[in-house]
Amino acid sequence: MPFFNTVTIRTPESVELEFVLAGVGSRAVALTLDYLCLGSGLLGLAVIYSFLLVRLLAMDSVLSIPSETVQLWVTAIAAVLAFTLYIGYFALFETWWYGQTPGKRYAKIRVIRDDGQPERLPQATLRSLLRPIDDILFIGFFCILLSKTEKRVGDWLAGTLVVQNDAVASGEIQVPERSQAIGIDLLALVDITDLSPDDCATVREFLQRRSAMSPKAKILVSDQLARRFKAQLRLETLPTEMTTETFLEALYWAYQRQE
Amino acid sequence: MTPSAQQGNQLGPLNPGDVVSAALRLYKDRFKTFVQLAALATLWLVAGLAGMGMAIALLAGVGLGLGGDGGAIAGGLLGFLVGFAPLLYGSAKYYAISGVIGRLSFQDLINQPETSLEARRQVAPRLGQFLFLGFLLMLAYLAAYLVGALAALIAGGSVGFLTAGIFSALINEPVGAVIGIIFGGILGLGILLVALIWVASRLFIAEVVLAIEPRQDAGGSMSRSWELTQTAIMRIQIVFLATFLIQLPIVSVTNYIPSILLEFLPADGIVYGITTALSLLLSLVGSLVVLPLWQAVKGVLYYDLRSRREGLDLSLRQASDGEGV
Repeated sequence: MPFFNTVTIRTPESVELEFVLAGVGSRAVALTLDYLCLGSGLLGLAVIYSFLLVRLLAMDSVLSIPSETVQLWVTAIAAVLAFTLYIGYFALFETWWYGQTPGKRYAKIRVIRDDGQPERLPQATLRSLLRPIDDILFIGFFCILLSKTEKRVGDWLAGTLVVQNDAVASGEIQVPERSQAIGIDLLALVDITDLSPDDCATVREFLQRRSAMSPKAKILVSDQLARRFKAQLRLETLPTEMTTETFLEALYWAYQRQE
Repeated sequence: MTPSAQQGNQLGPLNPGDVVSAALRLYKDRFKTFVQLAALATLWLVAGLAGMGMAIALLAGVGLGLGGDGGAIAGGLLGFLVGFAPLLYGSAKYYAISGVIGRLSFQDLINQPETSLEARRQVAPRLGQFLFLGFLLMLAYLAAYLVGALAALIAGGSVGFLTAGIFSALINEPVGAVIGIIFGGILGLGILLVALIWVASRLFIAEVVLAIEPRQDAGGSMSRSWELTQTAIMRIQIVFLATFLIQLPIVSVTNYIPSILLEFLPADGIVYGITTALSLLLSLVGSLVVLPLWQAVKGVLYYDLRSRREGLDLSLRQASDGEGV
Protein backbone atom coordinates (compact mmCIF):
# COMPACT_ATOMS: atom_id res chain seq x y z
CA MET A 1 0.00 0.00 0.00
CA PRO A 2 1.56 3.34 -0.97
CA PHE A 3 1.37 5.62 2.05
CA PHE A 4 2.85 8.70 0.45
CA ASN A 5 2.02 10.63 -2.69
CA THR A 6 4.75 11.10 -5.24
CA VAL A 7 5.26 13.67 -7.94
CA THR A 8 7.35 13.40 -11.09
CA ILE A 9 9.11 16.48 -12.38
CA ARG A 10 10.53 16.71 -15.88
CA THR A 11 13.49 19.06 -16.06
CA PRO A 12 14.26 21.12 -19.19
CA GLU A 13 16.94 18.52 -19.98
CA SER A 14 14.16 15.89 -20.10
CA VAL A 15 15.38 14.21 -16.96
CA GLU A 16 12.57 12.82 -14.87
CA LEU A 17 12.92 13.32 -11.15
CA GLU A 18 10.63 11.62 -8.70
CA PHE A 19 9.92 13.21 -5.34
CA VAL A 20 7.94 11.85 -2.40
CA LEU A 21 5.58 14.56 -1.16
CA ALA A 22 5.91 15.57 2.47
CA GLY A 23 2.50 14.45 3.68
CA VAL A 24 0.12 16.24 6.02
CA GLY A 25 1.70 14.69 9.11
CA SER A 26 5.23 15.91 8.45
CA ARG A 27 3.97 19.36 7.57
CA ALA A 28 1.96 19.47 10.78
CA VAL A 29 5.07 18.47 12.71
CA ALA A 30 7.16 21.14 11.00
CA LEU A 31 4.50 23.80 11.55
CA THR A 32 4.11 22.93 15.22
CA LEU A 33 7.85 23.13 15.87
CA ASP A 34 8.29 26.32 13.85
CA TYR A 35 5.41 28.02 15.63
CA LEU A 36 6.89 26.98 18.96
CA CYS A 37 10.24 28.59 17.98
CA LEU A 38 8.52 31.64 16.56
CA GLY A 39 6.23 31.90 19.57
CA SER A 40 9.13 31.97 21.99
CA GLY A 41 10.79 34.62 19.81
CA LEU A 42 7.66 36.76 19.85
CA LEU A 43 7.30 36.23 23.58
CA GLY A 44 10.87 37.46 24.06
CA LEU A 45 10.06 40.49 21.94
CA ALA A 46 6.96 41.19 24.04
CA VAL A 47 8.98 41.02 27.23
CA ILE A 48 11.62 43.41 25.88
CA TYR A 49 8.88 45.72 24.60
CA SER A 50 7.09 45.99 27.92
CA PHE A 51 10.35 46.38 29.81
CA LEU A 52 11.47 49.19 27.48
CA LEU A 53 8.11 50.89 27.66
CA VAL A 54 8.15 50.98 31.44
CA ARG A 55 11.74 52.20 31.54
CA LEU A 56 11.25 54.90 28.90
CA LEU A 57 8.08 56.17 30.53
CA ALA A 58 9.94 56.42 33.82
CA MET A 59 12.58 58.57 32.07
CA ASP A 60 9.84 60.85 30.79
CA SER A 61 11.12 63.95 32.57
CA VAL A 62 14.72 63.36 31.52
CA LEU A 63 13.99 63.01 27.80
CA SER A 64 11.61 65.97 27.64
CA ILE A 65 9.42 64.18 25.07
CA PRO A 66 5.71 63.71 25.78
CA SER A 67 5.07 60.20 27.09
CA GLU A 68 2.41 59.47 24.46
CA THR A 69 4.93 60.01 21.67
CA VAL A 70 7.37 57.61 23.33
CA GLN A 71 4.62 55.07 23.78
CA LEU A 72 3.56 55.32 20.15
CA TRP A 73 7.07 55.04 18.83
CA VAL A 74 7.99 52.04 20.94
CA THR A 75 4.73 50.31 20.05
CA ALA A 76 5.19 51.00 16.35
CA ILE A 77 8.74 49.69 16.38
CA ALA A 78 7.66 46.59 18.30
CA ALA A 79 4.83 45.94 15.82
CA VAL A 80 7.17 46.25 12.85
CA LEU A 81 9.68 43.96 14.55
CA ALA A 82 6.99 41.37 15.31
CA PHE A 83 5.85 41.42 11.69
CA THR A 84 9.43 41.15 10.47
CA LEU A 85 10.05 38.24 12.80
CA TYR A 86 6.91 36.42 11.66
CA ILE A 87 7.61 36.86 7.95
CA GLY A 88 11.39 36.83 8.22
CA TYR A 89 11.61 33.64 10.22
CA PHE A 90 10.18 31.56 7.40
CA ALA A 91 11.49 33.61 4.48
CA LEU A 92 15.08 33.83 5.68
CA PHE A 93 15.40 30.29 6.99
CA GLU A 94 13.91 28.86 3.81
CA THR A 95 16.30 30.94 1.73
CA TRP A 96 19.44 30.23 3.71
CA TRP A 97 18.77 26.57 4.25
CA TYR A 98 17.48 25.95 0.72
CA GLY A 99 13.84 25.44 1.57
CA GLN A 100 14.13 24.35 5.16
CA THR A 101 13.22 25.84 8.51
CA PRO A 102 14.17 24.32 11.88
CA GLY A 103 10.81 22.54 11.98
CA LYS A 104 11.14 21.27 8.42
CA ARG A 105 14.66 20.12 9.13
CA TYR A 106 13.42 18.06 12.07
CA ALA A 107 10.56 16.65 9.99
CA LYS A 108 13.04 15.90 7.15
CA ILE A 109 11.09 17.83 4.53
CA ARG A 110 12.05 20.69 2.22
CA VAL A 111 10.44 23.23 -0.11
CA ILE A 112 11.38 23.07 -3.78
CA ARG A 113 10.17 24.91 -6.85
CA ASP A 114 7.74 23.26 -9.23
CA ASP A 115 10.62 22.60 -11.63
CA GLY A 116 12.69 20.85 -8.98
CA GLN A 117 15.07 23.75 -8.35
CA PRO A 118 15.80 24.81 -4.77
CA GLU A 119 13.60 27.50 -3.29
CA ARG A 120 14.98 31.07 -3.27
CA LEU A 121 14.01 34.37 -1.66
CA PRO A 122 11.04 35.32 -3.91
CA GLN A 123 9.26 32.02 -3.37
CA ALA A 124 10.09 31.96 0.33
CA THR A 125 8.75 35.49 0.82
CA LEU A 126 5.57 34.76 -1.08
CA ARG A 127 4.94 31.59 0.90
CA SER A 128 5.62 33.44 4.10
CA LEU A 129 3.35 36.39 3.28
CA LEU A 130 0.48 34.08 2.39
CA ARG A 131 0.89 31.98 5.53
CA PRO A 132 -1.66 33.98 7.57
CA ILE A 133 -4.27 33.39 4.89
CA ASP A 134 -3.59 29.67 4.97
CA ASP A 135 -3.87 29.67 8.74
CA ILE A 136 -7.29 31.36 8.80
CA LEU A 137 -10.00 28.71 9.16
CA PHE A 138 -7.43 26.02 8.34
CA ILE A 139 -7.65 26.86 4.63
CA GLY A 140 -4.09 25.64 4.06
CA PHE A 141 -4.78 22.39 5.88
CA PHE A 142 -7.74 21.54 3.68
CA CYS A 143 -5.85 22.53 0.54
CA ILE A 144 -2.99 20.21 1.47
CA LEU A 145 -5.36 17.41 2.37
CA LEU A 146 -7.49 17.64 -0.75
CA SER A 147 -5.07 18.59 -3.53
CA LYS A 148 -3.09 15.89 -5.25
CA THR A 149 0.17 17.81 -5.00
CA GLU A 150 -0.41 18.81 -1.37
CA LYS A 151 -0.18 22.55 -2.03
CA ARG A 152 -1.51 25.25 0.21
CA VAL A 153 -2.48 28.67 -1.19
CA GLY A 154 1.06 29.96 -0.64
CA ASP A 155 2.45 27.01 -2.56
CA TRP A 156 0.10 27.58 -5.49
CA LEU A 157 1.06 31.21 -5.83
CA ALA A 158 4.78 30.77 -5.23
CA GLY A 159 4.90 27.68 -7.45
CA THR A 160 6.48 25.45 -4.84
CA LEU A 161 6.19 21.88 -3.60
CA VAL A 162 7.01 20.44 -0.20
CA VAL A 163 8.82 17.13 -0.51
CA GLN A 164 10.61 14.65 1.70
CA ASN A 165 14.31 15.08 2.01
CA ASP A 166 16.50 12.51 0.34
CA ALA A 167 17.62 10.13 3.01
CA VAL A 168 21.21 10.68 3.95
CA ALA A 169 23.03 7.40 4.49
CA SER A 170 22.78 7.13 8.23
CA GLY A 171 26.35 6.60 9.24
CA GLU A 172 29.06 4.23 8.09
CA ILE A 173 28.94 0.76 9.53
CA GLN A 174 31.95 -0.11 11.61
CA VAL A 175 32.96 -3.69 10.94
CA PRO A 176 35.46 -4.99 13.50
CA GLU A 177 38.69 -6.49 12.17
CA ARG A 178 37.83 -10.01 13.21
CA SER A 179 34.60 -9.84 11.25
CA GLN A 180 36.51 -8.44 8.26
CA ALA A 181 38.88 -11.40 8.36
CA ILE A 182 36.00 -13.84 8.59
CA GLY A 183 34.34 -12.05 5.71
CA ILE A 184 37.34 -12.62 3.50
CA ASP A 185 37.34 -16.31 4.53
CA LEU A 186 33.67 -16.48 3.60
CA LEU A 187 34.40 -15.15 0.12
CA ALA A 188 36.56 -18.19 -0.50
CA LEU A 189 33.97 -20.59 0.86
CA VAL A 190 30.73 -19.48 -0.78
CA ASP A 191 29.38 -17.78 -3.84
CA ILE A 192 28.37 -14.47 -2.33
CA THR A 193 26.27 -13.59 -5.38
CA ASP A 194 23.65 -16.00 -4.03
CA LEU A 195 22.70 -13.04 -1.92
CA SER A 196 20.60 -10.45 -3.70
CA PRO A 197 21.17 -6.72 -3.29
CA ASP A 198 17.91 -6.72 -1.31
CA ASP A 199 19.36 -9.23 1.12
CA CYS A 200 22.44 -7.10 1.54
CA ALA A 201 20.22 -4.10 2.18
CA THR A 202 18.43 -6.04 4.90
CA VAL A 203 21.73 -6.90 6.55
CA ARG A 204 22.84 -3.28 6.31
CA GLU A 205 19.58 -2.07 7.84
CA PHE A 206 20.00 -4.48 10.70
CA LEU A 207 23.61 -3.44 11.34
CA GLN A 208 22.66 0.23 11.21
CA ARG A 209 19.71 -0.04 13.49
CA ARG A 210 20.81 -2.70 15.95
CA SER A 211 22.04 -0.23 18.56
CA ALA A 212 18.49 1.09 18.97
CA MET A 213 17.06 -2.39 19.42
CA SER A 214 16.39 -4.08 22.71
CA PRO A 215 19.07 -6.71 23.51
CA LYS A 216 16.62 -9.60 23.35
CA ALA A 217 15.16 -8.55 20.02
CA LYS A 218 18.64 -7.97 18.61
CA ILE A 219 19.62 -11.57 19.29
CA LEU A 220 16.34 -12.85 17.91
CA VAL A 221 16.51 -10.92 14.65
CA SER A 222 20.20 -11.56 14.04
CA ASP A 223 19.55 -15.24 14.64
CA GLN A 224 16.71 -15.32 12.12
CA LEU A 225 18.71 -13.44 9.51
CA ALA A 226 21.87 -15.50 10.02
CA ARG A 227 20.01 -18.80 9.75
CA ARG A 228 18.32 -17.76 6.57
CA PHE A 229 21.45 -16.47 4.84
CA LYS A 230 23.45 -19.49 5.93
CA ALA A 231 20.87 -21.71 4.24
CA GLN A 232 20.71 -19.47 1.20
CA LEU A 233 24.48 -19.60 0.75
CA ARG A 234 24.44 -23.40 1.27
CA LEU A 235 27.02 -22.95 3.99
CA GLU A 236 27.14 -26.14 6.04
CA THR A 237 29.85 -25.31 8.55
CA LEU A 238 31.09 -21.91 9.56
CA PRO A 239 34.82 -21.19 9.24
CA THR A 240 35.08 -20.51 12.99
CA GLU A 241 32.89 -20.16 16.06
CA MET A 242 31.14 -16.82 16.03
CA THR A 243 28.03 -14.99 17.14
CA THR A 244 25.26 -14.42 14.65
CA GLU A 245 26.00 -10.70 14.70
CA THR A 246 29.62 -11.32 13.75
CA PHE A 247 28.42 -13.57 10.95
CA LEU A 248 26.18 -10.81 9.61
CA GLU A 249 29.00 -8.27 9.84
CA ALA A 250 31.25 -10.66 7.96
CA LEU A 251 28.59 -11.21 5.30
CA TYR A 252 28.17 -7.48 4.87
CA TRP A 253 31.92 -7.00 4.57
CA ALA A 254 32.22 -9.83 2.08
CA TYR A 255 29.40 -8.46 -0.03
CA GLN A 256 31.03 -5.02 -0.09
CA ARG A 257 34.39 -6.51 -1.12
CA GLN A 258 32.86 -8.55 -3.91
CA GLU A 259 31.43 -5.39 -5.42
CA MET B 1 10.71 7.54 2.76
CA THR B 2 14.21 6.24 2.64
CA PRO B 3 14.75 4.01 -0.34
CA SER B 4 15.98 1.14 1.79
CA ALA B 5 12.89 1.28 3.98
CA GLN B 6 10.67 0.73 0.98
CA GLN B 7 12.17 -2.58 0.05
CA GLY B 8 9.85 -5.54 0.06
CA ASN B 9 7.00 -3.06 0.43
CA GLN B 10 7.65 -3.16 4.15
CA LEU B 11 7.81 0.24 5.81
CA GLY B 12 10.66 0.66 8.23
CA PRO B 13 10.77 2.98 11.24
CA LEU B 14 8.92 6.21 10.49
CA ASN B 15 9.47 9.90 11.21
CA PRO B 16 6.92 11.36 13.61
CA GLY B 17 5.27 13.21 10.75
CA ASP B 18 5.10 10.06 8.67
CA VAL B 19 3.41 8.23 11.54
CA VAL B 20 0.63 10.78 11.40
CA SER B 21 0.45 10.80 7.59
CA ALA B 22 0.29 7.02 7.46
CA ALA B 23 -2.46 6.98 10.09
CA LEU B 24 -4.41 9.54 8.13
CA ARG B 25 -4.00 7.51 4.96
CA LEU B 26 -5.19 4.34 6.70
CA TYR B 27 -8.21 6.23 8.03
CA LYS B 28 -8.96 7.57 4.55
CA ASP B 29 -8.66 4.12 2.95
CA ARG B 30 -10.90 2.38 5.47
CA PHE B 31 -13.09 5.32 6.33
CA LYS B 32 -16.37 3.41 6.43
CA THR B 33 -15.09 0.56 8.60
CA PHE B 34 -13.35 2.87 11.02
CA VAL B 35 -16.28 5.24 11.42
CA GLN B 36 -18.65 2.32 11.89
CA LEU B 37 -16.44 0.94 14.65
CA ALA B 38 -16.10 4.36 16.25
CA ALA B 39 -19.88 4.80 16.15
CA LEU B 40 -20.36 1.40 17.71
CA ALA B 41 -17.86 2.20 20.45
CA THR B 42 -19.47 5.56 21.18
CA LEU B 43 -22.93 3.98 21.25
CA TRP B 44 -21.75 1.47 23.83
CA LEU B 45 -20.41 4.27 25.98
CA VAL B 46 -23.66 6.21 25.68
CA ALA B 47 -25.64 3.04 26.36
CA GLY B 48 -23.60 2.44 29.51
CA LEU B 49 -24.32 5.94 30.73
CA ALA B 50 -28.00 5.61 29.83
CA GLY B 51 -28.13 2.27 31.63
CA MET B 52 -26.79 3.89 34.76
CA GLY B 53 -29.31 6.74 34.50
CA MET B 54 -32.13 4.27 33.97
CA ALA B 55 -31.11 2.16 36.95
CA ILE B 56 -31.07 5.23 39.16
CA ALA B 57 -34.44 6.47 37.89
CA LEU B 58 -36.07 3.06 38.13
CA LEU B 59 -34.90 2.23 41.63
CA ALA B 60 -35.57 5.75 42.90
CA GLY B 61 -39.10 5.46 41.53
CA VAL B 62 -39.59 2.10 43.23
CA GLY B 63 -38.18 3.56 46.47
CA LEU B 64 -40.55 6.53 46.21
CA GLY B 65 -43.49 4.17 45.86
CA LEU B 66 -42.41 2.04 48.81
CA GLY B 67 -41.18 4.54 51.38
CA GLY B 68 -41.70 8.18 50.36
CA ASP B 69 -38.79 10.62 50.09
CA GLY B 70 -36.39 8.57 52.21
CA GLY B 71 -37.10 5.55 50.06
CA ALA B 72 -36.45 7.56 46.93
CA ILE B 73 -33.00 8.60 48.16
CA ALA B 74 -32.16 5.04 49.24
CA GLY B 75 -33.44 3.72 45.91
CA GLY B 76 -31.41 6.32 44.02
CA LEU B 77 -28.24 5.33 45.83
CA LEU B 78 -28.92 1.67 45.18
CA GLY B 79 -29.58 2.52 41.54
CA PHE B 80 -26.25 4.34 41.38
CA LEU B 81 -24.49 1.20 42.61
CA VAL B 82 -26.43 -1.11 40.31
CA GLY B 83 -25.91 1.32 37.44
CA PHE B 84 -22.17 0.80 37.65
CA ALA B 85 -22.61 -2.58 35.97
CA PRO B 86 -23.93 -1.22 32.65
CA LEU B 87 -21.53 1.73 32.82
CA LEU B 88 -18.50 -0.50 33.28
CA TYR B 89 -19.68 -2.90 30.59
CA GLY B 90 -20.29 -0.03 28.20
CA SER B 91 -16.91 1.56 28.78
CA ALA B 92 -15.12 -1.80 28.47
CA LYS B 93 -16.87 -2.26 25.13
CA TYR B 94 -15.89 1.27 24.09
CA TYR B 95 -12.30 0.58 24.98
CA ALA B 96 -12.15 -2.79 23.25
CA ILE B 97 -13.74 -1.55 20.03
CA SER B 98 -11.39 1.44 19.94
CA GLY B 99 -8.58 -1.05 20.32
CA VAL B 100 -9.92 -2.93 17.30
CA ILE B 101 -9.38 0.17 15.14
CA GLY B 102 -5.73 0.27 16.24
CA ARG B 103 -5.44 -3.43 15.51
CA LEU B 104 -6.85 -3.04 12.00
CA SER B 105 -4.35 -0.26 11.26
CA PHE B 106 -1.46 -2.40 12.44
CA GLN B 107 -2.59 -5.43 10.46
CA ASP B 108 -2.75 -3.27 7.33
CA LEU B 109 0.80 -2.13 7.95
CA ILE B 110 2.15 -5.65 8.23
CA ASN B 111 0.29 -6.61 5.05
CA GLN B 112 -2.04 -9.00 6.82
CA PRO B 113 -5.28 -7.01 6.61
CA GLU B 114 -8.23 -8.20 8.64
CA THR B 115 -11.91 -7.44 8.29
CA SER B 116 -13.56 -5.61 11.12
CA LEU B 117 -15.47 -8.77 12.05
CA GLU B 118 -12.31 -10.90 12.28
CA ALA B 119 -10.56 -8.33 14.42
CA ARG B 120 -13.53 -7.97 16.72
CA ARG B 121 -13.71 -11.72 17.11
CA GLN B 122 -10.05 -11.75 18.14
CA VAL B 123 -10.51 -8.99 20.67
CA ALA B 124 -13.94 -9.96 22.08
CA PRO B 125 -12.77 -12.67 24.52
CA ARG B 126 -10.53 -10.13 26.25
CA LEU B 127 -13.32 -7.74 27.21
CA GLY B 128 -12.68 -8.27 30.92
CA GLN B 129 -9.00 -7.46 30.40
CA PHE B 130 -9.94 -4.19 28.74
CA LEU B 131 -12.02 -3.26 31.76
CA PHE B 132 -9.14 -4.17 34.04
CA LEU B 133 -6.71 -2.19 31.86
CA GLY B 134 -8.95 0.87 32.11
CA PHE B 135 -8.90 0.49 35.87
CA LEU B 136 -5.10 0.07 35.96
CA LEU B 137 -4.57 3.09 33.73
CA MET B 138 -6.77 5.16 36.00
CA LEU B 139 -4.69 4.07 38.97
CA ALA B 140 -1.47 4.88 37.12
CA TYR B 141 -2.65 8.38 36.22
CA LEU B 142 -3.83 8.92 39.77
CA ALA B 143 -0.47 7.85 41.13
CA ALA B 144 1.33 10.07 38.61
CA TYR B 145 -0.88 12.95 39.60
CA LEU B 146 -0.21 12.46 43.30
CA VAL B 147 3.54 12.07 42.93
CA GLY B 148 3.71 14.95 40.45
CA ALA B 149 1.66 17.20 42.69
CA LEU B 150 3.86 16.40 45.67
CA ALA B 151 7.05 17.08 43.72
CA ALA B 152 5.54 20.25 42.31
CA LEU B 153 4.57 21.43 45.76
CA ILE B 154 8.01 20.81 47.21
CA ALA B 155 10.07 22.17 44.30
CA GLY B 156 7.71 25.01 43.37
CA GLY B 157 7.28 26.02 46.98
CA SER B 158 10.94 26.11 47.84
CA VAL B 159 11.96 27.89 44.63
CA GLY B 160 9.09 30.33 45.11
CA PHE B 161 10.19 31.15 48.65
CA LEU B 162 13.80 31.50 47.58
CA THR B 163 13.08 33.91 44.71
CA ALA B 164 10.60 35.80 46.86
CA GLY B 165 13.29 36.23 49.50
CA ILE B 166 15.94 37.32 47.00
CA PHE B 167 13.72 39.81 45.20
CA SER B 168 12.32 41.13 48.46
CA ALA B 169 15.83 41.95 49.54
CA LEU B 170 16.76 43.41 46.13
CA ILE B 171 13.64 45.47 45.34
CA ASN B 172 10.90 45.43 47.92
CA GLU B 173 8.62 42.97 49.61
CA PRO B 174 5.41 43.12 47.49
CA VAL B 175 7.35 42.79 44.22
CA GLY B 176 9.38 39.94 45.70
CA ALA B 177 6.23 38.13 46.79
CA VAL B 178 4.62 38.47 43.36
CA ILE B 179 7.74 37.30 41.52
CA GLY B 180 8.14 34.43 43.97
CA ILE B 181 4.54 33.30 43.51
CA ILE B 182 4.83 33.50 39.72
CA PHE B 183 8.14 31.62 39.61
CA GLY B 184 7.07 28.94 42.07
CA GLY B 185 3.68 28.55 40.39
CA ILE B 186 5.15 28.16 36.90
CA LEU B 187 7.75 25.67 38.11
CA GLY B 188 5.18 23.65 40.07
CA LEU B 189 2.74 23.58 37.19
CA GLY B 190 5.56 22.61 34.84
CA ILE B 191 6.63 19.71 37.05
CA LEU B 192 3.07 18.43 37.37
CA LEU B 193 2.50 18.69 33.62
CA VAL B 194 5.76 16.94 32.79
CA ALA B 195 4.94 14.11 35.20
CA LEU B 196 1.48 13.61 33.72
CA ILE B 197 2.67 13.87 30.12
CA TRP B 198 5.49 11.46 30.80
CA VAL B 199 3.25 8.77 32.24
CA ALA B 200 0.59 9.34 29.61
CA SER B 201 3.14 8.89 26.80
CA ARG B 202 4.58 5.75 28.35
CA LEU B 203 1.09 4.22 28.52
CA PHE B 204 -0.15 5.77 25.28
CA ILE B 205 -0.42 2.54 23.28
CA ALA B 206 -1.43 0.12 26.07
CA GLU B 207 -4.90 -0.69 24.76
CA VAL B 208 -3.65 -1.19 21.22
CA VAL B 209 -1.07 -3.65 22.53
CA LEU B 210 -3.86 -5.53 24.30
CA ALA B 211 -5.89 -5.61 21.10
CA ILE B 212 -3.00 -6.73 18.88
CA GLU B 213 -0.79 -9.13 20.80
CA PRO B 214 -2.25 -12.58 21.30
CA ARG B 215 -2.35 -13.99 24.84
CA GLN B 216 -1.68 -10.57 26.35
CA ASP B 217 -3.39 -9.44 29.55
CA ALA B 218 -4.01 -6.01 31.03
CA GLY B 219 -0.88 -5.81 33.17
CA GLY B 220 1.24 -7.28 30.37
CA SER B 221 0.05 -4.68 27.86
CA MET B 222 0.84 -1.90 30.25
CA SER B 223 4.40 -3.07 30.80
CA ARG B 224 4.75 -3.70 27.07
CA SER B 225 3.68 -0.13 26.29
CA TRP B 226 6.07 1.07 28.98
CA GLU B 227 8.94 -0.92 27.52
CA LEU B 228 8.34 0.03 23.88
CA THR B 229 8.01 3.76 24.53
CA GLN B 230 11.15 3.89 26.66
CA THR B 231 13.31 5.82 24.23
CA ALA B 232 10.56 7.52 22.28
CA ILE B 233 8.99 10.02 24.67
CA MET B 234 9.93 13.10 22.66
CA ARG B 235 8.85 11.46 19.43
CA ILE B 236 5.49 10.63 20.97
CA GLN B 237 5.05 14.25 22.05
CA ILE B 238 5.65 15.40 18.49
CA VAL B 239 3.25 12.80 17.10
CA PHE B 240 0.70 13.83 19.69
CA LEU B 241 1.01 17.54 18.86
CA ALA B 242 0.79 16.95 15.12
CA THR B 243 -2.28 14.72 15.49
CA PHE B 244 -3.84 17.31 17.74
CA LEU B 245 -3.22 19.97 15.11
CA ILE B 246 -4.76 17.84 12.39
CA GLN B 247 -7.93 17.03 14.32
CA LEU B 248 -8.29 20.68 15.33
CA PRO B 249 -10.34 21.77 12.27
CA ILE B 250 -12.99 19.20 13.11
CA VAL B 251 -12.94 19.35 16.88
CA SER B 252 -12.90 23.13 17.06
CA VAL B 253 -16.15 23.25 15.10
CA THR B 254 -17.88 20.44 16.97
CA ASN B 255 -16.50 20.78 20.50
CA TYR B 256 -14.56 23.93 21.33
CA ILE B 257 -16.53 26.71 19.62
CA PRO B 258 -19.98 25.46 20.79
CA SER B 259 -18.79 25.16 24.38
CA ILE B 260 -17.37 28.70 24.24
CA LEU B 261 -20.60 30.02 22.71
CA LEU B 262 -22.58 28.22 25.37
CA GLU B 263 -20.85 30.33 28.00
CA PHE B 264 -22.54 33.43 26.61
CA LEU B 265 -26.08 32.03 26.81
CA PRO B 266 -28.14 32.80 29.92
CA ALA B 267 -28.08 29.61 31.96
CA ASP B 268 -31.78 29.00 32.25
CA GLY B 269 -34.84 28.29 30.17
CA ILE B 270 -35.73 25.79 27.49
CA VAL B 271 -33.49 27.39 24.86
CA TYR B 272 -30.44 26.78 27.01
CA GLY B 273 -31.47 23.18 27.63
CA ILE B 274 -31.97 22.45 23.95
CA THR B 275 -28.73 24.18 22.99
CA THR B 276 -26.81 22.22 25.60
CA ALA B 277 -28.27 18.95 24.39
CA LEU B 278 -27.48 19.83 20.78
CA SER B 279 -23.92 20.86 21.55
CA LEU B 280 -23.45 17.65 23.54
CA LEU B 281 -24.65 15.65 20.55
CA LEU B 282 -22.39 17.63 18.24
CA SER B 283 -19.35 17.09 20.44
CA LEU B 284 -20.16 13.39 20.56
CA VAL B 285 -20.17 13.31 16.75
CA GLY B 286 -16.89 15.24 16.68
CA SER B 287 -15.21 12.82 19.07
CA LEU B 288 -16.58 9.95 17.04
CA VAL B 289 -14.98 11.25 13.87
CA VAL B 290 -11.55 11.85 15.39
CA LEU B 291 -11.44 8.64 17.45
CA PRO B 292 -10.31 6.51 14.48
CA LEU B 293 -7.51 8.99 13.74
CA TRP B 294 -6.13 8.68 17.26
CA GLN B 295 -6.48 4.91 17.24
CA ALA B 296 -4.83 4.63 13.83
CA VAL B 297 -1.98 6.79 15.11
CA LYS B 298 -1.58 4.42 18.04
CA GLY B 299 -1.58 1.43 15.70
CA VAL B 300 1.07 2.99 13.45
CA LEU B 301 3.09 4.07 16.46
CA TYR B 302 3.02 0.53 17.78
CA TYR B 303 4.33 -0.71 14.44
CA ASP B 304 6.99 2.00 14.37
CA LEU B 305 8.17 1.26 17.90
CA ARG B 306 8.30 -2.46 17.27
CA SER B 307 10.32 -1.87 14.11
CA ARG B 308 12.76 0.34 15.96
CA ARG B 309 13.11 -1.68 19.11
CA GLU B 310 12.60 -5.18 17.77
CA GLY B 311 13.31 -5.04 14.05
CA LEU B 312 9.75 -6.14 13.24
CA ASP B 313 10.03 -4.88 9.66
CA LEU B 314 13.26 -6.84 9.13
CA SER B 315 11.64 -10.05 10.36
CA LEU B 316 8.59 -9.42 8.19
CA ARG B 317 10.65 -8.63 5.15
CA GLN B 318 12.55 -11.82 5.64
CA ALA B 319 9.35 -13.82 6.16
CA SER B 320 7.87 -12.57 2.92
CA ASP B 321 11.11 -13.15 1.00
CA GLY B 322 11.59 -16.52 2.63
CA GLU B 323 8.44 -17.98 1.12
CA GLY B 324 10.07 -18.16 -2.28
CA VAL B 325 13.31 -19.74 -1.07
